[in-house]
Amino acid sequence: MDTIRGWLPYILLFPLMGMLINGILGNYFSKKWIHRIAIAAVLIPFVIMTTLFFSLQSLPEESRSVIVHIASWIEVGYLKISFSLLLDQLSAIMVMIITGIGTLIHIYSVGYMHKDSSYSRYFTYLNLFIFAMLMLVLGSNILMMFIGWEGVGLASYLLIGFYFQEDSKASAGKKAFITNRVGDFAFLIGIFILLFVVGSLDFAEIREASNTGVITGVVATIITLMFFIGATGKSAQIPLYVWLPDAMAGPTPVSALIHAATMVTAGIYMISRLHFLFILSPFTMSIIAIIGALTAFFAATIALVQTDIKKVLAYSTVSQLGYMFLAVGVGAFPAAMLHLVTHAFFKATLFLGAGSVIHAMSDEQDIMNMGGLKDKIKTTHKTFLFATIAITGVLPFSGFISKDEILWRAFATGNGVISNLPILLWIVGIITAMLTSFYMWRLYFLVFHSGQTRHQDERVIAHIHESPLSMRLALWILAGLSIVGGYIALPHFIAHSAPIIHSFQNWLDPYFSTSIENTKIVHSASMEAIFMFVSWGLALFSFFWAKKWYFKEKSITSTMWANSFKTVYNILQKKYYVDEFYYWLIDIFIIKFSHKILWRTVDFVLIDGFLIRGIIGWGTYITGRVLSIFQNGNLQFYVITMVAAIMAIFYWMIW
Amino acid sequence: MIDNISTIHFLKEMLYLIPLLILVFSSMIILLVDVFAESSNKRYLAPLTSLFLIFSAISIFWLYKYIPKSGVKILYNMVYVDHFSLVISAMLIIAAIITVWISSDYLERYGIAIGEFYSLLLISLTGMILMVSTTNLFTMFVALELFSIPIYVLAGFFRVYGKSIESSIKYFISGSVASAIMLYGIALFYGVFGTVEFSEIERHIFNHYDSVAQIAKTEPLLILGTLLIMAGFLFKTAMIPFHMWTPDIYEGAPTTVTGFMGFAVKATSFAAFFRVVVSIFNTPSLVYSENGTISPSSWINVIYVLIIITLIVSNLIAMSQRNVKRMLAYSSISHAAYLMIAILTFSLSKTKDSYGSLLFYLLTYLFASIGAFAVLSIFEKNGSNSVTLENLNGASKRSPFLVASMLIFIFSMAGVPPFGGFFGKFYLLKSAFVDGSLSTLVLIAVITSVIGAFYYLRVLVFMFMKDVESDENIETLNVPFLGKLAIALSAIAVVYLGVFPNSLIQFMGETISNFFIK
Amino acid sequence: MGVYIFYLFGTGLIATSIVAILMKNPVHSVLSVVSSFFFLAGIYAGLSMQFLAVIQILVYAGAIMVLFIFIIMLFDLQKSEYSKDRFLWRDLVPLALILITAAGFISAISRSESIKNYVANAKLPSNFGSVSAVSFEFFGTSNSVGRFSFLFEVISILLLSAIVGAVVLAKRKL
Repeated sequence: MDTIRGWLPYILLFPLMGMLINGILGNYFSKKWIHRIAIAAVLIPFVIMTTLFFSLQSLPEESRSVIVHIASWIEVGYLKISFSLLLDQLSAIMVMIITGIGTLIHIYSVGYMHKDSSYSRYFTYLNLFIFAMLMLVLGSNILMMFIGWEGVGLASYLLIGFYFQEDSKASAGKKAFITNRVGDFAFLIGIFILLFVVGSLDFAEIREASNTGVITGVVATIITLMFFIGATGKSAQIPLYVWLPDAMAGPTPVSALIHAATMVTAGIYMISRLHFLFILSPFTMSIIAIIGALTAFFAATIALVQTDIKKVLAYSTVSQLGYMFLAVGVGAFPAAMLHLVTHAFFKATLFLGAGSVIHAMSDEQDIMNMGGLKDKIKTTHKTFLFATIAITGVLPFSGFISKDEILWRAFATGNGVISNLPILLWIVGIITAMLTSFYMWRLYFLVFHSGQTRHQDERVIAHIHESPLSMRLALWILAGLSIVGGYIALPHFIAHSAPIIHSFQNWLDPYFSTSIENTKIVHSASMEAIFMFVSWGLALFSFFWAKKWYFKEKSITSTMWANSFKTVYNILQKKYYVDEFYYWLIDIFIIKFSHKILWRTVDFVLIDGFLIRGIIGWGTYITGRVLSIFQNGNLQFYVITMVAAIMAIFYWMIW
Repeated sequence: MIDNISTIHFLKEMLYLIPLLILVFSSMIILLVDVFAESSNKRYLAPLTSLFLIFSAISIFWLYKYIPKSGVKILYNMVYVDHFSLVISAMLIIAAIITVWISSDYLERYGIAIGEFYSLLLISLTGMILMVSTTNLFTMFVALELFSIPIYVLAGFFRVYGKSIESSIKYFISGSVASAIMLYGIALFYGVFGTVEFSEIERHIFNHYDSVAQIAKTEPLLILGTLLIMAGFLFKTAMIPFHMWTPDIYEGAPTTVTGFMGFAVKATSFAAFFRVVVSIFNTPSLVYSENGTISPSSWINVIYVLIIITLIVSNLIAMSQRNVKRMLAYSSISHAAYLMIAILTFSLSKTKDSYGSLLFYLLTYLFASIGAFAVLSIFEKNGSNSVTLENLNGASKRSPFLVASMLIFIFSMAGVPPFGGFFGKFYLLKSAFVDGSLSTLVLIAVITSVIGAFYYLRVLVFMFMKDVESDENIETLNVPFLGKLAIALSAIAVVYLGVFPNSLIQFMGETISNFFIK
Repeated sequence: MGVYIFYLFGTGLIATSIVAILMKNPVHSVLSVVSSFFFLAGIYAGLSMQFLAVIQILVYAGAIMVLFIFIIMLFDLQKSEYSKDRFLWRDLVPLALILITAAGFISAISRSESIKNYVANAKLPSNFGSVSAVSFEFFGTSNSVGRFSFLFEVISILLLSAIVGAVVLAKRKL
């Protein structure tokens, strides 16, 4: 207990120090020292966290929630917000992921960014991100979480627009920031309502309030819907997912860390953290599940036809996040967390592998220009292959275990609002799993197989080379984790015979104890095995289909299919025209309305003309004139005024 | 009457004055060093001075632990050191350190980097610290002169500029008149009571008089004395209509000196006035009429009316100023009105909160005000010693660092939430509001602070949105190292105060000494 | 006896002060200020503060006023420069203010009870105002410290700063 109390603040302190040192003095250091400082700033917290994890494990189950009070922050009336950290089962897992993967990606970045001139700026932002993300998961009240939430948003904005010299990349940053703003606004409103209802923002007190019925169903629905809108912004769900594909403008390690492994899962974390609030509203839960399933499906369909290697992975991320929301929506919070963890492993591997490919191909990102890279970059190929197997859900690899868990829970958990929902969710989920398998194998085959490299420029082909050691190291570790990472939680039907192996669930269950009572499992666990084989079979089917089309030189069949379903293909290619639709909305409502009505009429005529120039302008001018008669610079006059004032006051006071 | 104290005991008691002694001796040392040092070595004077100041600050921290909550009266009750005086002293020393760091390069640009500047600054600081650590009207008056006279000289330090000399002379003459008025008040008190010790005066008033009306009838000299002493303080704190010297002097004085006196003179006068109010003016018979209500002709009502006038007039005039230094002068006048609200609140409610809010407000004002003047001192055109709004055109291109810092300072002064000034204002007005009788005042303060936002933000408009007509004027500004350090630390402090106000405001509340709670 | 001395010197003090304000020629003004100092010293002496009276004459009438006269001589004012100021109607404002102030002060003093008490019961120590009494207050005895010795030292620093300031402001080349 005391170890945790003593050491927990340092987890936050080191990234902050790293950020400050590199941010202020970075220009005076050599590159070697910049990345040494930055890596140490993440590695040390990881080491601390590992030891803290064991000391947390040694505590009895019910006291595995340690609050470290650092300072009281705002105390105004009944609003008392303290600056304190909360380490429990949930945040422990998150901190491990953030610092662990964070360290690996810092190491990877050393190789990836070695030629960049803004080296210190890059690592400053990365450390800023780690700091903000840790604040998000370690905060013991919603306001601290919100600060972290905004902090990661800022770091993400800065890193997406890292190459701000290019307009398109700078505006991708802006798009991410503004889209998130919509979500954050709703999140803030939720916080305000919650504060109004509960009178506190402390997680413990909110839990108390929701357990004792202070928060009623309708209020809970409003609050949780607001929070969920916030989550759709940060975690890229319908309707606010549009920023994530564009966010690929940032450096690839950033995409791996922020836009795949950690930041985008903040929404999942937030809902899991506040699950006691969400389960009060079955309506919101159903909405979350539906949105999650739809996002998973639509993003997967878009990913089918994308040709930019990072875009495919980006839509895949959106789709996988959809799975997590699906899990959260059916009350399977541990399953969502498990998928969060395994997804962090394999998606980080995939992104880093993509980064390695892009690095090798001299910044080429179009998979149609790749191909046949299998023997040229062996490490990348192998790790990418492992991660692909993991994400497509083949048994011994991690992705299967978590995805299966989610699908099983989606099917098995009854829904009080819409009775047919579980089966629908399961169908959408299983189809998405099939699509996932297809687009991932398509990506893999187009990049690493399918004949010779198709790039136009001979020099690029000649220059294809394996990445430096620092990048390969990170790849291998992450690939290893994506293979074995799932074993922390084996499927139910296996775990039944050996319950100890099901440790992930056991670890988290105490925190989610309230939710487990509230969601009822309606089907027997033995069905799980059957479902498992169904999804496995579908994944294999997709694999062979993709192999048939893309393993060799680009086959005629795929082009033929694309031609015969031209409309569908185009819609998918254009991502359902969502961006265009949003642009149209903004153009009509914001730009036109603001320009014509707000700016030209309200601002120009009313405020500027009437208020500013008229009342304030003339008013100030006249009063200024009148009053400056007294301020004439004449010293004698000043003294006389003073004495006159004294005498006036004197006569007032005496009579 | 106190017995004679022996020489040894006297020296022992001087230990409580260690911060002062360090300052006095360092001012002499700097004078001597200045005489003997080669002119190329004179740039080390500023670091040397700040070193001494840091020593003095350390001794204050040491004393803070050492001194009991009741404070210590020493040297025939001439000096009274308690936690309040130490906190104010620490703020004053911080202000001096920042001023020294900025002045180092500023004086060099004007070609008068000489030790006398630092020496006078230190003597002035000595006077200020003495002024806040006394409960004796004689000491208070001597201290007032001790800090004023060096400031008069510092205001005219740019001897070649007419404005600087003008401001010095104006400050000297009007200040002397104000001192004379205050001295007259002290003399009247001495004449009526035969003592100048706060506690004895208080006891005397308490024993002999019942209500304001009775005092006005039988002892009008007491009211006259109260008024004259108050007038002296009102002059130093620049409440309207005792403010008229402020704009001229703020404009003409060297900008770093303006920054220093903008905070330090004000803070000192407020702290001393606070003591006088709490101890003497707050005696019930000086406040209440026979039936127990606040008498309409008590000093509280006078201050009340003056605060309202000050809030409205200063903000209105500030709107029409083009010269930024003059604008900040009027802004400092409006800040004075806020501090007066805090004093009124405390004298009515006597809560720890209102006490803490006064000190916290001073702290936020310290960094924001000195920081803003520091930025201006770098922006001002060489040779003009003044900054108009137009001089700030395109400033964001010339030095992003300075403009970002200025943004923080301006936001803080205007009271925009994430910065210290907001919480300063917030806590101050909150404690005033909690005490119900001042809610009208709070309302006016809130409305006028909206007017205030107009002229504060206009500075930013000129800095960010207007460009210089010709390109040749855009030259990047070189910010000297010490100046950069001072501005950066001030900006960080402002942000820190805005983000973590709570621990500090609680600490400030804890520094209340027995002098105030009795 | 003492009362008559007070009224005599008091009238002289007021009269010379008014003359000092009204005189157009600065030298005349200064001379009448000097004589007002003498009257003030007379009042001190009448209150049996001999030491203060002597200091008043030595320091103010002797040293400070001589300085004033020197400065006026250095300015070398022509008659036309100071005599062209004529009485203006706006001068009535300060005049009225002076009258109002005086009326207020006089009424306040006349109503004060503690002053009446003092006049009735004033008891001064036997050595009041003597050199030894003043020096005791300032410097104490051989093994104790005077009440005002601290302030005395503070004022010495004040004077030092004034000297430094004068040098800074007046020196031709720094």
